[in-house]
Amino acid sequence: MMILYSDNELIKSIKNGNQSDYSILVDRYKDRAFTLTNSIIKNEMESEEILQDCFLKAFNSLNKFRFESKFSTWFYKIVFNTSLTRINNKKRKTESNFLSIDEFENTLSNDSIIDYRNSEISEALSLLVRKLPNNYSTVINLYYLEQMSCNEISTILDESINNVKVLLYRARKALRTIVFENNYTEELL
Amino acid sequence: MNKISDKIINKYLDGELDYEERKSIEKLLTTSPKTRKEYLLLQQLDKNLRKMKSKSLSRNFTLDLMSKISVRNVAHKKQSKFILSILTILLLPLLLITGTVIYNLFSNYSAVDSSIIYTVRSNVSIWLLNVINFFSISPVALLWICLSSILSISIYLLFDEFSRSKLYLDNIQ
Repeated sequence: MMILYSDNELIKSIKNGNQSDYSILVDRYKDRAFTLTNSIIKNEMESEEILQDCFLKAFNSLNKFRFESKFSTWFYKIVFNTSLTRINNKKRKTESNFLSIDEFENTLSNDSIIDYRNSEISEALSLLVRKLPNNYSTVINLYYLEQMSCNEISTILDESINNVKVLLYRARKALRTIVFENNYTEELL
Repeated sequence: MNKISDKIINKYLDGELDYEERKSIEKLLTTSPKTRKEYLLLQQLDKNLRKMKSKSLSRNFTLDLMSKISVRNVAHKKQSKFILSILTILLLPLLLITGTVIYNLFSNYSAVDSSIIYTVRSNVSIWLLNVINFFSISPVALLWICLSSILSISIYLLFDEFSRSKLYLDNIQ
């Protein structure tokens, strides 16, 4: 039976020079971190590229990791900040605005409705979440996919716990409205 | 209470309300069909959101990343070695100058008053005295030692660089 090493055990081992152990950490977090990046960036290729940068950054800063928080919280903070920086740089270049909830509702074409109906519920919901404004989709992903507490999310987002809760409520409300107003109730709920 | 705010409904869903508040919400949910419908919709959404799955990245992602880390490490080591060699090259002339200054200092003292050098010499450690004696044998010997040290270090660094590049190329192939 394969022994599962904890994040902290792996980090200690990497700090002692066992560089290859980092691949275990990468495999452990890459998928969920990718979902988070993709929910902010909304482009798979770019998200993958950003995630590579984040893992490299984390590897280079591993000596600064003092085991005061969970590795996941520390790493997702890097992912979140890097993604936001990329978004801000992009915004400055293209002046493109992200979709507000109202705009999002208007952009759902009939084709996309068919797609949602044909896909699995969880996949369809993931697609809807990805199309939410950044702060909403980030909170939803961290809360539901990462199963993080509001306290941990507040550390990553650098927001107060109350603000995180408000974001979570609003994100749920936005999703509920979208599902309800577009008659996805039967398919998705 | 006839209508519940979204905040309260969400708190109820997350189990953040106390007993009394929970009881009053539950009472309202049985009496108000609209609120009940809203709550059930939110509850179902919450349930389905918990079933969400991450999109999987291929194993190649990890392999690519690890190879990038290896390449970076090699580059980092090369850079450190380069800085070290530069520092060595800068340090050796510095040592040479310091040695010359010490040598001249003692030579001048002996020219002025041999009793002073005797006093100084009696106070310095045996080790330092030996070093001064060694260097005072011949300035040409001192220069030769410095040059040969620089040459040896340069040859070692070049050889090391060459073997590392070869190993790196072999790994790539």
